[in-house]
Amino acid sequence: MEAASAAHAEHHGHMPVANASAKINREYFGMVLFIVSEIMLFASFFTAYFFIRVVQGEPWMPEGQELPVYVAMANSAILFSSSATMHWALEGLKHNNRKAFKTGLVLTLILGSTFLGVQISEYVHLGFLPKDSAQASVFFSLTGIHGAHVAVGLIVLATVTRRAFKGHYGPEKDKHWGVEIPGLYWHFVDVMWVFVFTSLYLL
Amino acid sequence: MAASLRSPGWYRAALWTAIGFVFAFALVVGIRAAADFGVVVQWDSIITVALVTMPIFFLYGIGCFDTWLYWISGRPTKPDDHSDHGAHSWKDYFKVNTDHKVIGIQYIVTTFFFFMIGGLFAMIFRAELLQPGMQFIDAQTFNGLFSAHAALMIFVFMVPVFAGIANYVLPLMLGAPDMAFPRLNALSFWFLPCAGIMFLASFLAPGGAFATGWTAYAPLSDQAPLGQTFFSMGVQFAGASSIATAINFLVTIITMRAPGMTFWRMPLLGWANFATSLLVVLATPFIAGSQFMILFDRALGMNFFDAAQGGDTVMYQHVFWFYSHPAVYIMVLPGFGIISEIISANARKPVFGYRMMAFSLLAIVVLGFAVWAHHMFVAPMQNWIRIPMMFTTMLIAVPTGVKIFSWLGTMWRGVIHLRTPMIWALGFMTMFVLGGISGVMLAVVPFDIAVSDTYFVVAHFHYVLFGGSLFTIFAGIYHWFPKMTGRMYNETLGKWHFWTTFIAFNATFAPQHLVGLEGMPRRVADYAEQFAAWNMFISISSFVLGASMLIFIYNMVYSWRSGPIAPANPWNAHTLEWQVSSPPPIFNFDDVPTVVGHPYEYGVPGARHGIFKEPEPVVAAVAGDSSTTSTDEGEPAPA
Amino acid sequence: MKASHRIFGIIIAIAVTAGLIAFTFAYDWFGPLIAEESGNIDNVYRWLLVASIPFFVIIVGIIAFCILEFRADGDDDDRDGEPFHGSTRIEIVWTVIPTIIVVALGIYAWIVLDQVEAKQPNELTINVVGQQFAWNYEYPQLGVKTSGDLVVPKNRPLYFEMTSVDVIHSFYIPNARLKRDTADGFTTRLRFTPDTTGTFPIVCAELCGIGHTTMRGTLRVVEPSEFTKWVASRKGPNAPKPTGANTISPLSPTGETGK
Repeated sequence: MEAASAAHAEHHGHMPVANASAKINREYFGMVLFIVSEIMLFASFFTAYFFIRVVQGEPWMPEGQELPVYVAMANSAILFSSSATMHWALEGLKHNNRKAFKTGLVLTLILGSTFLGVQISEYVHLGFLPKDSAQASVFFSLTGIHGAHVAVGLIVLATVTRRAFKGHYGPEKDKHWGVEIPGLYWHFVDVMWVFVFTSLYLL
Repeated sequence: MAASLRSPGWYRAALWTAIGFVFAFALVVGIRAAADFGVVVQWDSIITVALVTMPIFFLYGIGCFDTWLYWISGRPTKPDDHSDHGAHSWKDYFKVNTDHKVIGIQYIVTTFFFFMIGGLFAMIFRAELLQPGMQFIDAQTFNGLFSAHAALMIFVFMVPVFAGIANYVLPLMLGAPDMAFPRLNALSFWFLPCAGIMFLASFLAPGGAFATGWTAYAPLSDQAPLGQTFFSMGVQFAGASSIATAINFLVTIITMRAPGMTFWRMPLLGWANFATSLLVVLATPFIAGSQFMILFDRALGMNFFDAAQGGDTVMYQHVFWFYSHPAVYIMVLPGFGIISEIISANARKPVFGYRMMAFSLLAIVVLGFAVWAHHMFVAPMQNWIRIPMMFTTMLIAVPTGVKIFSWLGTMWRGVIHLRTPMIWALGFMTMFVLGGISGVMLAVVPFDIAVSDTYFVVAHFHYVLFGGSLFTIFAGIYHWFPKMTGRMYNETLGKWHFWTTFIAFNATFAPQHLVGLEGMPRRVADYAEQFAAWNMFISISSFVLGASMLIFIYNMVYSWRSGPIAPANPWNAHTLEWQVSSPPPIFNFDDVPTVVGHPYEYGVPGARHGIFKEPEPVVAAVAGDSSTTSTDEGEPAPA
Repeated sequence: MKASHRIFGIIIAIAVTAGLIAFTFAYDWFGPLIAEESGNIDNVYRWLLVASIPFFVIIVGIIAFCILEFRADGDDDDRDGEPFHGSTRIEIVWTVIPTIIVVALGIYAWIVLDQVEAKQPNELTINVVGQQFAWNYEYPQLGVKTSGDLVVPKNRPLYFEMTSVDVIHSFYIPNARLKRDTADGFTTRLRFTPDTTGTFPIVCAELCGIGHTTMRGTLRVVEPSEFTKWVASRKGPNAPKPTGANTISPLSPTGETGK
């Protein structure tokens, strides 16, 4: 068996190019599927939320565990605007406007970090802990998992930014995926916040 | 030594695993000291964190992340010359490799390793159940053994072994040179040993292994000793592995099929893995969610399941079964694909009702998401949910029945070759029908109230997972063994393996229906005198069943080392993987073939599935010739 | 294979089907039945088997027939089968017929379920509390508490309200064919009328920890008169003080009827 494959290794030196049986970019499609499974991960925690708040009919939130709605609202605005700057950066890249590209990325990083910082400071000042009630557990896990996604997104975007300043990426079709795919993930994180924010703070 | 500690491999892996532990220790001790938590060295917390850091640091050490990290840090990555493709000696199977064929073998061998251990656990607790009363092991060990048996069999055997078979076969079948994301593919494989070893290591934890069954129902799992954390964390790694593989399969199937291979010209194994991967991507995050909740409860003191704090234990079951029922289809749909391939090739017939076969897979995917609560008919769930769940569950029998009948239609007026894979396929059909029948019975609410959580359920799911899934795994491994190894397996031993397994399997699990109906609950270490006779029979049969696996192992090892050289296409099948040499060339194809027809046109005059660039796929002309020369002859001179 | 062989095969299949169905009704699948309502559960099981047996016989029969009739002549036989690809008509048949059968069985089961769980007049309420690893019972109408042995009168409808103080348990009476989980924060219900005196097992069917195996009790179904005596003995000087409602007699006119 080993001999056979070794023989083949010598004879078949090149890797054939795979046929593209669908037009979609593979990495982009992979990210879409990953996001689908991420949505389901959030859905499992929303199930917990649904059972505790709706099926069990527990009050939201329990007495003495109020959530700072207005702080969160301002924070949401910060996160949503980071989606706009991300989009600006990508459009800048596609139109070969490197200045807009780099500025957009840096703004996105700043806005995202601000969101995360405000979120952490909110945790500290809430005055209750995850163990204080099932509602608090749901609140901390949903926002916590979302925060973890923001953190991952920031790390990825930081890498992208670093490469952007090194002159990587370009307007050509196959050179902007490295920005577009992290951008897609970033938009997902923002859209997910709409649901987390609405169900935890507003409703 | 210093160099080997810097380059990816086992030395660096060992070093980094140790660093992972030190890191976890420092992190926990540091935080506890800084936050003034009283006891600074708190071992439960340290081990919980170490269960995250050690596998990840191990994965770094073995080399799963090297290319990515090089890319991120802006250092030059190795050019994608795929020099790490292929395996030249057995040692290469212990390295990170991006070749889907090597990964496929790694998957299959690793999962069978865990399968043997899981089977051994089963035999140990069957020995305990040989007689009423407690003989060999205590209740904690007993609970730990059956929990670990289930966890190993489900999470690191049944789910991933299909990913392993498909990993090897599917790119070949689709005319793709590799999977879409080879490095992700390698990472998904290396997650598995992490998960499996975590399950096993739980036996060393203070308080013993996780002992709450594979279902880990809250709040029992919230209160269980440290071993439970090993389970919850291991499930996360196994789940990450299966999601990553599913994404890989979906992208491969959708974007990398050979020119001309429309969805309706795709082999049914492709369809089956397409359906399975959809299930994995959509459902697996739910078990991750359920185990996150358990972990948060255990590690951070959260209260998802404490009724006094507003928690809801039934919610755990909903979240858990929303994955774990589709998981049953994750563990059997790829098998359906394997059986379709084997029956059509061995009956020399086109698959009967090909489109309905594909549609029924998708119907199972859709219905599979609407039946989870049938596991909760006796749980404190709203009563009305039981009725719709009963009907959807019973209706799943319809697409499944369509598949069974279509296989019968495929055999009808064929020319049936009773080779080992075909015998396993036929054994699968009979046993899976029995498992399906008891499945429909269990879907019926009043009957389920009587027998749920009894041995009847144990019998049912072993008929589905052993007589169903495992038989398809054996069928598939025998079927593609010549392709994977370039050697033929031993037919006689294969048939011996089948008949010993088939008989011992029925002797083990058929009586469990009877003791279940009489009211013997599952997961008990001791039982009433009235069940003693059957239990002794079951235990002895289970030992024979375990022994029958030795025939398989011997056949595989012996044939791989010194079986007769396999021709490229021993079954004279039409799908693409049989048109290349056995084992396939390192990049599968010199040029991607063009697909011009359906994959199963046996008996149709002049029908072709794939056309290769070479003047003629030599393998078909000289079937029976040695593999090393078959494809090389017709190869055009390198440019 | 000749036509006579096919007829022979069909006769065997019919005979096997008939034999299996006869066996279904003749064999004692369950232990003794002590709840009248649950007799229908046994019947559901038997009818499910009756509906399944023909499918099993047909499938195994066709496999056996194909092996005998269409087997290749050795490994060198390189003939191919008849290349037909399907038949819409037969595919519709084998989609529609099973659908009708499972829906019919489902409706039958639904009717039985409603019967089994129907509220009955003059129920004796028993509160069940599961804990690791024992069952505790309270008769709120009688003001009696007990654990271990559950004593109930024959022919009086029982109504269990169940919960748990720790993990999930499952209150399972094999001879009544009934079980229901008990969980902290939930109240689950179970109803049946014991119609046979004797001692029967009560087991925990949901894994509840290290002592799950030992979490067993007994159900003692006694004659109504004996039950009255037992209740009186539980209310002796050593028993806990009843909490009212002690004027309700465990015996009742409707409870006397029956077997």
